[in-house]
Amino acid sequence: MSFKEMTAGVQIAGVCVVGGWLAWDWWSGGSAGAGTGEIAVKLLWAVGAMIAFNIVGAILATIVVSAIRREALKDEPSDERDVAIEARSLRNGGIATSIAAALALIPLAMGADAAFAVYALFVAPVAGGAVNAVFQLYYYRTG
Amino acid sequence: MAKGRSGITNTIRTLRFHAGEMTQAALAEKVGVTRQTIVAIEQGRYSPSLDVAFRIAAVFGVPLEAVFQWAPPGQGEG
Repeated sequence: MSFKEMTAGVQIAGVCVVGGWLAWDWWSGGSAGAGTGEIAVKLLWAVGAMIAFNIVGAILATIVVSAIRREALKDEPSDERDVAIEARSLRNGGIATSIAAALALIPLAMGADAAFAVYALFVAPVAGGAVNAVFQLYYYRTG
Repeated sequence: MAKGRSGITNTIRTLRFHAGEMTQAALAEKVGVTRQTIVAIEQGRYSPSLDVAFRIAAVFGVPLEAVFQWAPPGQGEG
């Protein structure tokens, strides 16, 4: 496992944890009756939590992987394969973001609450980022 | 001999053996790529650019065709 694969794995874990928290909050009615401002504040906290998770997760994962391998896990300068993998996974992430954003317009067109748009604004790029990370792991394993 | 999906095969493993069992990390350092890239090339999972292909051949001091070979799909199978 390279440093870049580990970072992608941590990013996926962060999306799962924060996404799970938001989904649990949604189903338990935590956002019931909340205005767009309140939801936006909650999602900003979620963005902060994801950033913090990625930083702390990357540090902890580096320590754990290094301890298991008995060799320091370091980030290496990107070569042509890294650049190619990044380009392909970024393209897939961009497509996922576009699709998620376009699909979010459907319920809004059908009269869904404006609060939904705030969630869509958060979910579309996060989904794109997650797809990017998943495809990075996939391409590192296969190509 | 590792064969990739594109019909490209390579003899890097053999060449490393004849170069005093050169490690993948040592080859990666000489070529200027990561060890993971050398592993992927050696296993036929990744076809390098011409630039990297020539640099690999230069490390072993052999012509390019001694490192990489190509056969049309279907040929040499069975």
